[in-house]
Amino acid sequence: MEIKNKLNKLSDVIWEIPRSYRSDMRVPARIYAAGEMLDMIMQDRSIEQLINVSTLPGIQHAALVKPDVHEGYGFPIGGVAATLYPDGVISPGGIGYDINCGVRLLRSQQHSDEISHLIEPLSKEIFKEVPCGVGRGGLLKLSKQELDKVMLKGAGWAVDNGYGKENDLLYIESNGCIPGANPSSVSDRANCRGADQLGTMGAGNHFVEVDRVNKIFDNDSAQAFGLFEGQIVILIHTGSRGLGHQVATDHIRIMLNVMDKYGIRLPDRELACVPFSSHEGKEYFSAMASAANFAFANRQLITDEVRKAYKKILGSSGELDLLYDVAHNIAKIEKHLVHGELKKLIVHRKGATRAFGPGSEEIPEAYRSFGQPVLIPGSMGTASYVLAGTAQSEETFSSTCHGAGRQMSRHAARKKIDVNRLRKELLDEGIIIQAGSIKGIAEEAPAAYKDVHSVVDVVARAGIAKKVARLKPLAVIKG
Amino acid sequence: MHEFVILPHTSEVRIKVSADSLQELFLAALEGMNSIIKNEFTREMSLMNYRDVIEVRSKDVSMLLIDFLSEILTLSHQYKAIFHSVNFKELNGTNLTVDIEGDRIDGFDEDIKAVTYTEAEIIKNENGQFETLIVFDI
Repeated sequence: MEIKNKLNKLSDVIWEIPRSYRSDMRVPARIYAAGEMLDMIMQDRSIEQLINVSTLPGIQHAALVKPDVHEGYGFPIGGVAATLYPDGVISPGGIGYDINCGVRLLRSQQHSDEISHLIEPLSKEIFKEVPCGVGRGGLLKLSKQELDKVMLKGAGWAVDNGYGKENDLLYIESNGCIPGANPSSVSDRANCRGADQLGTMGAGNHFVEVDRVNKIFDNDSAQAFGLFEGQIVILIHTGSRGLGHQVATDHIRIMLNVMDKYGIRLPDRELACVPFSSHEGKEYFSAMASAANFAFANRQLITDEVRKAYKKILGSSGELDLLYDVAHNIAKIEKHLVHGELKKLIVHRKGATRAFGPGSEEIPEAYRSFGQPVLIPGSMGTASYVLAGTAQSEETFSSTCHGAGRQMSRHAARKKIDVNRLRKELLDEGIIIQAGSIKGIAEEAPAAYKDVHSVVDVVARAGIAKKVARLKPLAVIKG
Repeated sequence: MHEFVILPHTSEVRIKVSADSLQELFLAALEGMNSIIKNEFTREMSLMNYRDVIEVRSKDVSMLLIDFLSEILTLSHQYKAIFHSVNFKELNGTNLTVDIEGDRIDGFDEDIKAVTYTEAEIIKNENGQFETLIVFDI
């Protein structure tokens, strides 16, 4: 409870640990949470990890966590750290092993009442079309040359090869391709792990979900995003698969071996970092961008698989448009105001979603006046949200939460959750589960997660995102 | 004697390993990792047998353990195999050379994304055993 006593209350939902709390802190640490969430947040190592992040060389303004925070390794999940470009550090741990893990939302033109009898066959068809499960490969086996093209072009490679519409690219963060990718920075081992995993979902908390828009909060933004009450939408959550995991593993090891050269001392090795401008920093960023582009292409291929399933079940009316695709494990070079001064920064988002406010040129033109769409997946039995970025999100480097956030360990969830009972309870609520693994259902049970409504309420109250729509799951497809 | 136990972690898997010797500690850590990837592995599941040699050089013994596990995890993903037999040719504070043997299986139970360095610090506990925590990114 010692840290709790040192918290300064900046507002009802913003708390600050001053820089004076620990001698190695370079900036304060800020927690976005309701007062009643603090005790739970302090039950694990989240805040200790946040304080560790505040020691990174070149960090600006504050180390931040959102209400979905929980302990990770090195960085807490739900964290944001921005360092000064180009000599501040880049830290692979601030992005995570699943580089460009992210979420994509597809919208249909169907009302759920029209197709309620088709949800179960649709869920089965999606389960058949989208390869899922631990280490599972897909139908594509890419040559090294072709894999390089994927890493260079991202979702654009997929569209060029017939997996989607040209228009899709307009509705993906960075148009589905982060500049600076260089496949020569990616190891043969990473290539090997990625060669057969394009178009695959993986396991863990990754999913495809058929949802119904069950509440609109902001009519104008919803209309701009093409959302209406009762509408069937499909949410896809996955990342860069084994390729990204290996990129992070390789480069963290490289950085740990050269940090002494740059005089960097850290309280946790998993924060391993080097100056962005260093050879090793540039190599990592090129590899990270390559893996991020692989992830954009992965979600694009899964979109194609889902579209096939949707069309097969609904016939010619079964069109799905891409609403938006956004990363929540990434580092981006962006400009933000720091104490009133516009600075170029390396923004690390580890379980945090970019949330640009209205007017940003990074936002698709059709949405620009309303703010960037922000997609917040909840747990399989509760709800997900569509939010929009706000001008005020500038105070968090235009970042907001990324999900409900876990509150129970996987091990505890497996012990505690009766899967058959859970399936029945979900079915009683009109939620169908298609899963490859019983264990996976238990680990991802709603009880294992925080209350997504409370998490979203905090970011809305803080003004760093606004609510646009709430989605209710109808079918969840998992590995 | 060596053992591993699973400890609570909100989102990942944390294990504590302890053993009478450094070699045993490395074996306990590998057993812990394998038990996460495939809970009830038996040699009868083998679809194909693999052998390989791993050489690792690290800055200290705690990093050496994590790098050793990372090497095996990568091979596990690459070959879709569980590497269960280890013959130590060299193991000191910074260097390791081992022959390993594993079996390809038809699927894993859990996707370990990575073996992390966080919390890994090999110490001698009050019973005189080597001991460390390891956090796996799931």
